[in-house]
Amino acid sequence: MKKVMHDVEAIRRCREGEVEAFRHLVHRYQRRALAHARALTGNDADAADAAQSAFLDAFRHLRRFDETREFYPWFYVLLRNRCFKRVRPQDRPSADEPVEPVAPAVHSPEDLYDLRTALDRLRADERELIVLKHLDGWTYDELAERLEIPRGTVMSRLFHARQRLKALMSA
Amino acid sequence: MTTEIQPSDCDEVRLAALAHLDGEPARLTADDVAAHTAGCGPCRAAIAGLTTLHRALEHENYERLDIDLWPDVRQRLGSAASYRGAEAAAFLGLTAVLVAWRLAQLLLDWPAPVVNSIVPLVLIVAVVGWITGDPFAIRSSTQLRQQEGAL
Repeated sequence: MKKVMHDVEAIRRCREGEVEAFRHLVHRYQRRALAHARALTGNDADAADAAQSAFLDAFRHLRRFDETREFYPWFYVLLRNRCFKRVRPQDRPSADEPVEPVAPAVHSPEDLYDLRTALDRLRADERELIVLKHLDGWTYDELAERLEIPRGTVMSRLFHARQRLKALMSA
Repeated sequence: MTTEIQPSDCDEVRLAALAHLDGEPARLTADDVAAHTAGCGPCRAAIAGLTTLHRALEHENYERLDIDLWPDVRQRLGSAASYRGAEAAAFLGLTAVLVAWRLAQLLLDWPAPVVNSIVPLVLIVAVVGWITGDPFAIRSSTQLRQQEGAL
């Protein structure tokens, strides 16, 4: 029977210098990391490079990792830092921008064909929120904790991101 | 019992409506939102549009990338380790050269003060410049494939 290594065991081995143990963490989390990186950077090549760099950062900083916590939320901070270094300047998070006027309501499924295109046209920080909320199912409290912003800010940013998304789809 | 909502509270009503859609608690109840939207056309339209969008997003999936990152990560981890060894060697070499230079100055009493200042400075700048370069500037296989495709 194949023995499954737990994250904590892999991390301990990595700290002892066993590089191969890191394979467990990369294989376990790479799909998720790539999906998040794709959502943040908007393209596959940057996503792959950002995810790779984030895994390297994680390996180099494993000593700082608190074993009582889950690996991925800790890793996600490294990943998003790497992603935001790669996104275009206009996609980077900025101070609250004026929200575009609310577009006419979208009612039929035919209007939604370009949802993915519209998602790609959002700013990286807006896209991140939409993806984490809708595709990963993070709660407002989880978003607030992991992105280190107040819950009220999560609500308003999500609101504005969805308004922008709707406007982009209707444009 | 519903909360009294002012016309200027449209944003809060929409935030609450979205929170309800997300299954999250909000300050305003669903009844509060309904009471407001009954008399506010813009909010009704905005919430209807956002509800449709919410439903569409529920059916959205990740664009999955099927890439095994481990070979590149492993390679870069190895490069980083060898780089750190080279870095240490560079520091040791620089120290040895600077000490030898200083000893030569003391023993031979060199009369060229400008050269004596510039040479160590140039050595330090060169080594620090080399070390502070990006140690992970190795192209990923994805980028290489793209470059190959462009050629």
